[in-house]
Amino acid sequence: MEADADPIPPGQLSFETALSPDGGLRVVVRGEVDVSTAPQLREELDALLSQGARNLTIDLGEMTFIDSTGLGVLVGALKRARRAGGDVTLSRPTRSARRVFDISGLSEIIPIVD
Amino acid sequence: VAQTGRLTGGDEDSARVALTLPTAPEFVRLARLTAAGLASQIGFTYDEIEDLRIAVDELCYLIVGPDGHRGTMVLWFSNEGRTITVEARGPAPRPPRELSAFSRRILNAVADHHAVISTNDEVRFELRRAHRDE
Repeated sequence: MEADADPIPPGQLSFETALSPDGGLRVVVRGEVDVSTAPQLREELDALLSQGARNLTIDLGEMTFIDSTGLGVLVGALKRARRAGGDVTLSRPTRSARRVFDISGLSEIIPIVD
Repeated sequence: VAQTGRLTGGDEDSARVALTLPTAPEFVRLARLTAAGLASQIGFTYDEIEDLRIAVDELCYLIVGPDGHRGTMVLWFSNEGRTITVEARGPAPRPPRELSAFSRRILNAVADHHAVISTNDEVRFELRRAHRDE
């Protein structure tokens, strides 16, 4: 992770994608995921899955907010990955994101690792 | 447009903030920011601030919808002691929006009280959250 990464302008997300040691893809999400930015996340994940990514790890260590529209995008990506024989894992959620995943029930649907 | 920092009636334990925003998705973060600012000022914990932020966000969605629309919404943030109330009203999006299952679960967990009144033309909501002493 880049501790000195440029700040994310409000209303925008940034992404960084790399190959994982297990051969899957790891995408780092930076910024706030809400109704205005969820389409950016959907587009990014759709593009990765369209390019053939099967096992996707979404690194949320620098995602500072997520609401139900963002949860919907994650579930959409999970369904699409599983239809293609792959999976989605959420990684390093912040405390507040983890709480949203727990109370919404998302953590029962998508694997989460610290 | 914001009217902020107004202590009312000489009562230093209460404040009321009014915020008028375009009904566009990119402005919802300003509603979250205002809620967080007030909550922080009256001693909410980090987790309580996060709870309030997401509650405001989820309810604003009912007015803004996924794509926004023409119009403005008005939010009033007030506190009595360490209880914050957020009231809002704005034009209803077309088609009208309902809380998703995720939204409902989140709101039931993070808000002490929330209520929504929707008509064809307007959406109003009220939200309340109190600081809980350790």
